[in-house]
Amino acid sequence: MNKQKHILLATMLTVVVALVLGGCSTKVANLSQEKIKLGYVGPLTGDLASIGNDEKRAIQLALTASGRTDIEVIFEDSHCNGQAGSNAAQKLVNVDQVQLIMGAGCSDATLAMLPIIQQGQVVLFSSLSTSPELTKVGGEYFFRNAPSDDKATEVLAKLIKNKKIALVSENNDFGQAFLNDLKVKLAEFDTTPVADEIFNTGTTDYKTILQKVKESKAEVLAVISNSPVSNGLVIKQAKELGLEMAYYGTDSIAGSEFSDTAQDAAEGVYAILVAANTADDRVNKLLQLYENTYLEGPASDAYTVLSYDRMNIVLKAIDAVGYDAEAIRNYLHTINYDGLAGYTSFDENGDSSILPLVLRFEDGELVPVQQ
Amino acid sequence: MFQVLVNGIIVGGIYALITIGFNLIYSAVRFYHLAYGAVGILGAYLTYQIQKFIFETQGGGLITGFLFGLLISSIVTGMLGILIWKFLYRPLRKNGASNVSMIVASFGLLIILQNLIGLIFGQSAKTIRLSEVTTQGYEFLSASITKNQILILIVTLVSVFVFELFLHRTKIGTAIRAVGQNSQLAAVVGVKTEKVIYITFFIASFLSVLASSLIALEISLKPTYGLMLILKVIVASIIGGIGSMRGALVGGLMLGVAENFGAYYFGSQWQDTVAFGLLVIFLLVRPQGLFKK
Repeated sequence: MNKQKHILLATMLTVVVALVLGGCSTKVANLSQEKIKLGYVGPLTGDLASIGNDEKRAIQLALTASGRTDIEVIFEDSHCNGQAGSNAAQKLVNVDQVQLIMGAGCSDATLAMLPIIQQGQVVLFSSLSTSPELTKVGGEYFFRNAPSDDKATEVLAKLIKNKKIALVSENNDFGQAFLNDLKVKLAEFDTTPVADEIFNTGTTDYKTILQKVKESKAEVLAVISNSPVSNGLVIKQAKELGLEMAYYGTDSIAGSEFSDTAQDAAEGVYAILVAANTADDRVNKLLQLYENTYLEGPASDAYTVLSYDRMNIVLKAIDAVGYDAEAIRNYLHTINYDGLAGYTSFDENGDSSILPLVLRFEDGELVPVQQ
Repeated sequence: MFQVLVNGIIVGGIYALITIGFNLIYSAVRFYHLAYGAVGILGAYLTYQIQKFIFETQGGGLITGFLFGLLISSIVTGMLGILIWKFLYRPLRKNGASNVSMIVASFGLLIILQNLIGLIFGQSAKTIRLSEVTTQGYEFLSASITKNQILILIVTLVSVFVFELFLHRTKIGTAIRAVGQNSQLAAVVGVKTEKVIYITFFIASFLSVLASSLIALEISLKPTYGLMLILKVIVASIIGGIGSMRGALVGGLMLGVAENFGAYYFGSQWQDTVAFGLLVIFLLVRPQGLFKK
């Protein structure tokens, strides 16, 4: 009994000493560098690592271009999941005591970080999370310049309103949420689809659905699926069946598997997605700089641009009001920043004014359509 | 309406084609070789790779590349079929494994093959093409049918005819049936059981590549298609009568047509429900299938 008490006491003492020493060393480091510490949380490994890597590099490029040496970004990995995102946020808020975190990438991770940033009153600024859920639950410290998924339905509804529309959607969360949202937006223009077909994930034969679309005499076919292969097969089989109509798709059309599957049938297909506007010279300069610096092009031009804009907006905010979460939050609501992704301002939910672009397949490439 | 029937017949033709080989193997060894679908898909990936190689680096045409790829990959995959029997199923059989154990082993092999395909060729979809432009199909009684689909139909019909003759009119065909009915008795009367099974696995695997490569023309290739195919094959096989060639044709066609009318009248999300509903009905009403004696 007595011996156990001694051991317990010794352990506790060790822990206390370690904590005190640890705390001291951090403080010493802080004093010697006196740098402003920003946080970043994103998918640096795992499924979306290529995009996380783009974000990280874009941040570094923007920081280098600004010439600021007094700012340091602490990069943490969200693995694209909630648990890791939450752990990273805990560390940045409580240990590193940052005032602003850029991230997270995947919406799951961002959603998991919200309670921590709200509790710690720290700004969270995402360039990649597009879940419409974040508009509702983001809270006053959350901002994003990546457009929410329901911006895409807004853009699409405006494009195809007052036409005979056939909708073909995938039977999953993304497909049905997008479908219902689109139908609500179309109803605002008094437009009701003439065909509304749903297919299960992994379906490979769409001919019978497309036959119904053909019989509906639709002028427009919108394919709502986050599978590039499904999109490709629908378009290919529609052309084989001789369906002459305008084709619209969601952002999964940007995946190379779409053009691999649809091949020449992809020609003329419209897609609504977040994209880098290559008609803007500044965008091309950034992409060139990226390639020169890292000896390879970005995995996603669009998210590189958004992350680059984000870093510049953050720098601008710090210059204007100092490094304080509340001041930055108030400042972000007032800006109208002329960036590479367009003019960025934020509404009361932290959603930005950036809209997805309309692109069209021309000679196998997606090019922005002038609107 | 007619278009829906045509769609059903074409999809059914694909199911039938791949069910033939499955039934052939069942005839000889009397268990479900579930990895069969993945073997075919692996072969189709080889066809794709060879076609790509010939088209891109050797200056050959897409059709030449496809035919050449089909020939090589069918033979290579046929050999693989033999190896699967020799090194997996035969040792299990020798140790007295039950049919349930054999199915579990073949399911394990299916998973391994799917992962291997993903590892070697990547997870992204691959498409085999016979021409560089997507053309609208021929109009036939108000239905549209493409060249690829006509090809699939012809190959299926010819294969059913040839294999029906093969099983019933040739010595080796009779031997395959004999081994399936009673392998010990067949051995006693002088049938070389091992050899017969090797030949069966070779032919069936050969056929699976043919079917899967044709499927790839229609719906592309993904590593996981092996599982999807084998599920459809089992349904078609049970409807038609497992082990029968005519049964494979009729079962496959019935499944394809039922799926497409189901999709037309109830919506595509109910397609699989129709397919497996049909299976349940057959299991309840006619478990031996249409053509089983």
